[in-house]
Amino acid sequence: MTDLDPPFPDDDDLLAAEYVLGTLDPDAWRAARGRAETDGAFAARVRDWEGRLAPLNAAYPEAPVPPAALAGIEARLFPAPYRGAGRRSPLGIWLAGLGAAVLTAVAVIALLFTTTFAPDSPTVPGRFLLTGDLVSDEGRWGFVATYFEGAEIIQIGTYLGEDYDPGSQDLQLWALGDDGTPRSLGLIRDQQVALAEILVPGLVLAISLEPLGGSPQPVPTGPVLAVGALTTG
Amino acid sequence: MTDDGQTALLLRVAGGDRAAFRDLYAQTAPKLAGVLTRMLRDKAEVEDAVQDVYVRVWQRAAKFDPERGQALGWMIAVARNHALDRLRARPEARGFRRAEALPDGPDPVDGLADAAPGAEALLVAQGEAGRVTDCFAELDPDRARMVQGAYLQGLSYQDLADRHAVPLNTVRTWLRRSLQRLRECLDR
Repeated sequence: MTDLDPPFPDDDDLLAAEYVLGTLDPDAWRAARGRAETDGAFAARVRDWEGRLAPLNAAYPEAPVPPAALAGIEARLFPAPYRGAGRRSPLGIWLAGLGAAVLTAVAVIALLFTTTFAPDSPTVPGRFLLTGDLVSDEGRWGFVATYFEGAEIIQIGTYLGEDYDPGSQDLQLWALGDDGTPRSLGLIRDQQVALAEILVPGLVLAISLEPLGGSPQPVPTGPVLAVGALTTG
Repeated sequence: MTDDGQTALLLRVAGGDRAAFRDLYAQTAPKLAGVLTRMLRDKAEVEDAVQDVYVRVWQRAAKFDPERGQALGWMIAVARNHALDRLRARPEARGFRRAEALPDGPDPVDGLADAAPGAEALLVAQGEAGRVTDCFAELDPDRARMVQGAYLQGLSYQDLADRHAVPLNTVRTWLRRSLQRLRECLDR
């Protein structure tokens, strides 16, 4: 290849230049890439050429970013640590965060009882208090759900969260059926959800981030932020 | 020249900081999408490529050396490499011709002719001109445009030969001599 051409003082440096420029044919380009990964001297020449030609980067115009790209990237880089013993059923995926939830629920519930629900709290006779700690795998989001059995609202407090835009986004609460099928319980507004059904102990809840007004589908379309089960105090 | 804290963000990404990764993505994704769009000229492929590139940025962030340049330049190099890899894997890079024109935009030959003035204008506008523009100005204008077009669009020697109706070896010789002159000028 290079030896067919007029002599240059340094074929390796020229090869590095052609590699950075990208003009090599597929096989030669891949071979050069292999050297750039393994040959320190050649890699240094590549870096030098990248630096020489970098001012041309200013000529690349910006372009619209595919809207779902970040979610796809994070799903690939940070998969859920729990996979329900290898199951890939919808329930298994939804329950991915549940292990962590159970671990932290004890502490949170204990805290709840010693603060909010001290012995003189106005509990309603004959009703059980149900609580749930809904957390994300990475610990970025944490919600505490509190629900008095038979009530028509559920309180959702956020104790750990990230910014989202309440002008264009909503947090939506979901219940998961035994087969993992989600059904919407409603939008979280003013830290509560008005319910159309009575919730029962053991119910698995999830919260997703959706466009304003909620998911246009009967299932979440945005990222699922947190999952947890509703349990008796 | 400032990089708006992108270098600091990339160093935090190297340490596994996911929040820094989101910030870095927000700051740089439009530019990297621009690089990939210009080179791949295929929207569906750009969407996949953006994901691949940022996965690599996360995985390779520890290799970034702030002594050797800024974060955005390093990330653009990652994006260009990935685009070149995709371009060279296409059937036409293996000798098969496309039956139809590329889906997006004019024929790349026209793009080549347009690329150089656009590049130079942008470089001047962004204060990047200086030595690089001076050095490109020392080249034969057609060959300067070929180098810039090759870099910006990822054209191979074969692409350039086809589109300029010049023998492959002639194109290769022109570009190699141009690269050598550029190096002499830039390192002067």
